[in-house]
Amino acid sequence: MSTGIVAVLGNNSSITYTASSETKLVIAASSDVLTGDIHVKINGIKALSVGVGVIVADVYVSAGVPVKIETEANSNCIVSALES
Amino acid sequence: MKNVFVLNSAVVGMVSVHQNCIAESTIEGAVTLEVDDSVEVAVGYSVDTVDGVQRFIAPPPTPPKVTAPQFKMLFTSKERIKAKSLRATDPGVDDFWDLLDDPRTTQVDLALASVQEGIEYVLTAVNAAGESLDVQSRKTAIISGIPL
Repeated sequence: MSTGIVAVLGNNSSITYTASSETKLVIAASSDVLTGDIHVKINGIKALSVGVGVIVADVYVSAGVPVKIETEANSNCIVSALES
Repeated sequence: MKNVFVLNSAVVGMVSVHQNCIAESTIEGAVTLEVDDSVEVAVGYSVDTVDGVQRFIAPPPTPPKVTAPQFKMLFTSKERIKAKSLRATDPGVDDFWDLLDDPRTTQVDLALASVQEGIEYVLTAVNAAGESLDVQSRKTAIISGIPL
């Protein structure tokens, strides 16, 4: 595992990331400008909206535990890893 | 490396992979193609495979919106003069030009099918009235929104 960008997801896409050591994933996504909704799911759970614009979610993952991040239509996000 | 998701020869999604992870499309039936980061591709592109090599083709640009006077200027002066003379005898030409002359018409959306049909109708009528022109190529040129 190395620190840095893991993937840049366009719409209707997913990645499954398995860290080799305890890792913090930072997920930056743009929210819907009208509704403030975030169209990104982390392990099947929709990310909560914290306002209109760019949001950042921190996800702590243990070694060997896969994390699935997926985007819906008209959505995208950047996933970065920071080794703990 | 980019993972490009393709369904029915159209790019429907993309993931730029920087570290080891499994990238998939959430659209059922989409096929994953791995392409180099240098390849220009985006959602909406079409995919053509020639001799096992994929080519990504950008969609044609969306026709623009123009003002009514700008729209009229997309026709040549000969086409405009002929269309004007046809208004008296051709209700189709008269109706289309009427809409353009309406002061409430502030914009002409060249992407609309009804506008494109109107352009073709006028050009066909102009051509039939003796102002020889290639209707399809003139229609394409007018829809591009770029004056001659």
